[in-house]
Amino acid sequence: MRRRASLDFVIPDAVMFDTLSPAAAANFQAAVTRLAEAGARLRQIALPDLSQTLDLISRRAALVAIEALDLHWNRLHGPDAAWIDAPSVTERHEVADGFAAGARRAVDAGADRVEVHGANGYLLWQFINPETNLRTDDYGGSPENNIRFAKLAGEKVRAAIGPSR
Amino acid sequence: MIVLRLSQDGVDDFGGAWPGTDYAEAIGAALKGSAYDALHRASFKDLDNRQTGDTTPTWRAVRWFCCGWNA
Repeated sequence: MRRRASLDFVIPDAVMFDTLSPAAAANFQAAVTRLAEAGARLRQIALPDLSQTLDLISRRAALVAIEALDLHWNRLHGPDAAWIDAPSVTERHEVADGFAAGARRAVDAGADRVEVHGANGYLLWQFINPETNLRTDDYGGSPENNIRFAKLAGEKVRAAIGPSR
Repeated sequence: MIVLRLSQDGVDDFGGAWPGTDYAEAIGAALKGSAYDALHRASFKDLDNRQTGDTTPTWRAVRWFCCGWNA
C-alpha cells in the first residue's frame, strides 16, 4: 500500500521544469503529465507552445493533455468562444471529470505523476484568484470556496487513478 | 502522485497577484487533507514574493498552512 504524502513537500520550478533541457528531460525518471483547462485564457495560449512545453516532459503526455484541453473547451463552449461564462455545476463536474479522464489516460500511458494546472491564469486559477472569481455560490466569495474547484478536480483525479498512485 | 500547480505573484497571470498573505494562508489551510500529494510552485523568486507591507512570502504562507513546514 502506498503511503500518501499528504501535501508534505513542494516541487519547485527550478527542479521540475525550468532547468530541464529537452535532453535532460528525456532522461528524467518520472514522466509527468500536466493537465490544463484554459478557461477564459484559451485565446491567450497557443497550442503549439503548450505542446512544446509539455514535450520537455513527455511527448505522449503532451498529446494526452492537449486532447483533454481541446475536447473539453470545444464541447462546452465551441471553438469560437471568446470568453467563458461562469461554469455551471454540471460544467464544473464535466471539467473535473476531464481532469480525471486525462489523468487516467496519462497513467495508462506510463506517466508516474499527474499535475493539475491551477496556475498561470488557467481555469482553476480563475477560480482561485478572487479578481477573476466573482461567483456568489459555494465556489466563490471566500478562499475556501475559491479553492473548492481545484479540490474537486483533485478528488476526481484521485478516484480515477486509485489510491496507490 | 497528484500535483497541484499554483502560481506565485509576479507571473504572467491575467488578474495579477495573490491578494495577500492572509488569503494565501486560507488557501493553504483549505488544501490540507485534500487529494493532492504535492504542490508545484509555478514561477520563481519566492523570497521576493511579498505583498506590499507583508513580510512573509506568499508561497511560504501557503506551504506552512497546508503542509506544516516552512523550510
